[in-house]
Amino acid sequence: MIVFGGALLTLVVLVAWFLRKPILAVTSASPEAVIRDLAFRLRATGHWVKEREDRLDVRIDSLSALRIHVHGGPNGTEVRYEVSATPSGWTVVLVSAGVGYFGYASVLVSLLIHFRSRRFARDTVGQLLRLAPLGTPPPADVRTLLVVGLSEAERLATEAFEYEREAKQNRIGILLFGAVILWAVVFAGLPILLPGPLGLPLGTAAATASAVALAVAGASIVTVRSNPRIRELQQEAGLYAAARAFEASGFPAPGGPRGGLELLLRAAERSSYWREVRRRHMWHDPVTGFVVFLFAYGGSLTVALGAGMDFLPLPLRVGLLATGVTMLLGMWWSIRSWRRDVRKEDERDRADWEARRQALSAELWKILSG
Amino acid sequence: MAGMDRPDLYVIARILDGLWHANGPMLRTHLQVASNVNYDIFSRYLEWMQGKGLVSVEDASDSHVRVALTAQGAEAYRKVVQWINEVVRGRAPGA
Repeated sequence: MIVFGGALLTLVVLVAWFLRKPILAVTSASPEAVIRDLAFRLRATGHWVKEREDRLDVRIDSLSALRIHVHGGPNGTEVRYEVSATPSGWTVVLVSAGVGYFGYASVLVSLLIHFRSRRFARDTVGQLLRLAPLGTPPPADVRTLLVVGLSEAERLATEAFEYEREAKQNRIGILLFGAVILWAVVFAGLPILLPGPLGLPLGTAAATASAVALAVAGASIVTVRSNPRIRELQQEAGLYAAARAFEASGFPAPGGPRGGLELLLRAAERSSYWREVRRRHMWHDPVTGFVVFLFAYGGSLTVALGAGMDFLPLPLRVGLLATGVTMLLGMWWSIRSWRRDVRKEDERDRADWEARRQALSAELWKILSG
Repeated sequence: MAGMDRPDLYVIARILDGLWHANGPMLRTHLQVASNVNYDIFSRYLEWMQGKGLVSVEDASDSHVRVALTAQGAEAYRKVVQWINEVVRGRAPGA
């Protein structure tokens, strides 16, 4: 009970997150107008916003996020907030909740995210809501369009950069885990193969050398292969952040970018790639990510229990091993099915993007030619 | 106008960006630097854009040539930005 107490407490905090949607404002304007207006106010003040049909997703920092729900109510359109987390925030909370005593750390992280998001909703969003009557349409001028477009490009590029960086860290993490396993196998196996006084020191040396070689060589290869893509995406994210800040303020930063339309054209060319990077990240789909984590964690734990607990009756150990292997197979099947779906979506997106690229080019020439 | 049947959209975007941000007529030489192409190429682009009614070129009394965005050019700039916006945001443009 003490071991799983952290996980249970985290569950309580998460249920509170989902159920509590305190009200921020009520207005007579239509929900669509309120969403458009609020999205623009947040973007113009430098915040990262994703517009959905009936809500806005706002990112606060690397862990905390906020969902702003806009719905019709009995007294008019209601604006409510819901505390949320970024994909990294969810990863930290869910993974630590599932690992024994780390569950208590998960409670702390959940509460930290909760209080940050709540403060942002009450202070920052609350202040923006008081600026002008809600539902006031943003000015339909070029500057507004540029701020909105560059802000969206910044969001896509930053997300792609973070996903790519996280993918590199995950690969290195898996390699380190593999190196530890290799060390254990060589350390335990070599003295059996080479009995005698030299078996143990030789086993230790060989285990350490092979594990370090795998970790260092693997991590170097991953770094060399990933870094150019990560650097490129980071530069793009910075470029769009600077361009958006310039368009929003009207004052260029020294040496900063000025070409709003040119940058938007580049964003249109790159947006397909940014979306692809994001889609390829397993935690982009939290359900798949969580299912894979549960299968991997549960499967390896059950296999270890079945293999190591030699005081248990044999049928129980066989049962544990069979359950563990089934869970690991479930993990493999989930990853396979997720990869198949991603491939299909990539192909669909590529075909769709090609059609849009041609339409874009034709339309631009039509507009420019009068 | 050989070779200008299909000008580079990025160069046109740079010229339009320069003029839009200048918020008024701009010295031709300054605009050429902003467009990041050599003088000959810039002149051809300017001629093409003038022909389409997007920009106007004024020879001022101080012997400086100035370029300005026409009303048609400003409207084209707005439309192009709006259109690309929709593409970046993953929506079907024109829908």
